[in-house]
Amino acid sequence: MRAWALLALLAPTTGASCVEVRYQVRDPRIGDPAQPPMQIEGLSVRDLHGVPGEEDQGNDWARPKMTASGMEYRDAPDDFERTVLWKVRIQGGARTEITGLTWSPESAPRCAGGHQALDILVDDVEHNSALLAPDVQVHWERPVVISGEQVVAGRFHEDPPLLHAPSVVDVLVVHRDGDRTTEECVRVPATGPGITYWNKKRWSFGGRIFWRRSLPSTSSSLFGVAASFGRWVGPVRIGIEGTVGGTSDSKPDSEAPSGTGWCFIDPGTDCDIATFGGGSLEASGIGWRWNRWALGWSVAFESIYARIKHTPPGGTQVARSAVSLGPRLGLSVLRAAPDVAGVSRISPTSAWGFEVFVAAGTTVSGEGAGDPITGGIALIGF
Amino acid sequence: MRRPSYIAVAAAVVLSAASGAGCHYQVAIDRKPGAAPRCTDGVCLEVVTFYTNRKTVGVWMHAPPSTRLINARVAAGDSPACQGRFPTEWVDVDGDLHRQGPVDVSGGHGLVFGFPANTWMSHADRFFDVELDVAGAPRCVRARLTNAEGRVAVGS
Repeated sequence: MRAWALLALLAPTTGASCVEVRYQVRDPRIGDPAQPPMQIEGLSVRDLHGVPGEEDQGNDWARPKMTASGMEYRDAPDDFERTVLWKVRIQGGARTEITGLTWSPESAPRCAGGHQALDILVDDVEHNSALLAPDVQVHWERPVVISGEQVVAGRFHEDPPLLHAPSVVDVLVVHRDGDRTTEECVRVPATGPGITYWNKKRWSFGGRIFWRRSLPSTSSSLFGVAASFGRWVGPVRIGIEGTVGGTSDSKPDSEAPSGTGWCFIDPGTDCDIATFGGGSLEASGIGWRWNRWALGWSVAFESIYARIKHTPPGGTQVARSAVSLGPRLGLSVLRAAPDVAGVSRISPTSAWGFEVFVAAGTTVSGEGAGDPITGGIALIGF
Repeated sequence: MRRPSYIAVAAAVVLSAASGAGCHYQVAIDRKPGAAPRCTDGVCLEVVTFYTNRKTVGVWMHAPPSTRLINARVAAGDSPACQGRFPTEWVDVDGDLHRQGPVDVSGGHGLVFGFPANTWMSHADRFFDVELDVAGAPRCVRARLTNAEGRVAVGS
């Protein structure tokens, strides 16, 4: 059935909120003590990556082990490590040695509570592939040595409650003076009063699976899918969207329900058989957020080309086509990407959820035998 | 004179473009330890396994007592030894995973090093460098992985 094929096509877009989200700090606080100067640069939530010690061998993950008879591979769970990546900008001297990072509640003792960093990463990446290479890379050695101003990141186990509580990142620095070595713990405020964040997301792919009550050119209900590509400009996502859809089946079924409400799935003799395609220019955004729930909005101007086959009772099928133009307004309830204390309520995000929309349209070419004002519901993701 | 077929010309163009875009044929070795160990001042290092479409390098190493592994890197030929731009992300020593160093490697051990995904975007003239601390003295041991043409050159 056409509807289920379309559903399968767009299902992956509903997983849009499963990807990494990067937040940029807006009002960072300098660490304590103030030398060397350290401040939070940002964080990545849902930092998903392969499990260290395991290797992707095409279809399976395996744990390699070198033995006297060669490399052996043991089965490994097909999974990812789910972590949070805190980035700290450090204005160090010619040589700053870092031996550890800790992410903890602000009430924890310095460098002695919360989560120890699983990995320490530094922004000294050679970008021979801007697409594949991250902006920081793991440094296995200890201490990690940096020089001048650099970004050092700590990878920690995911802890959603701690993301929404006042927290700190403690950086353990080693000072050397001849043979004398001392350690100093610099506490850098990560979340808490006065520290705000903004999602760094810029480009965005999205999709919609929707049921629409009618078009200006036909009163038959339709099913459609749409894919969009957009860019966040401040809190507004500006995108272009392409859409296709239609009623189900290629001819009316005399045993199907009467009326035009079920044409999208089981068209009866009252239904037109329609296919349509079109495009729209859309602005959308988040109006309000609380934890991972959000209310979204969208405004679009759409153009739709439809091919319609109508069979009057006892008559022969007549085909026609029409083009319509008009605005569309939508409100949505969304499940958004994980956020952090201090993130703006209207910050860009990735999300999926349900949208209710109304659309008005004028037929500018062909016969307008449908409804000038209509509506529908959609499963959306971006 | 025979002219090349259109398919051959098209293939040459595609291959040339792919090469320029950073796409390369994959090279690999996968063998048993003992085939070609290279020893210097008591440290023997042998690259046993690597695939340029995977993210690990497997080696067999024999080191004197009080030897610690400090770091390991995949490096281009023009990088100074042990200062290459692709540092290891994790090390497995005889089946034990270590997410941070240093780690004691005195004696004979099978080691697997994990590297970042972008390590092999270009794989011509690549070396594998191991940074050691042998009884308090720093050592850098280098093994060639590929030659300037991007072909396997382990042991050369």
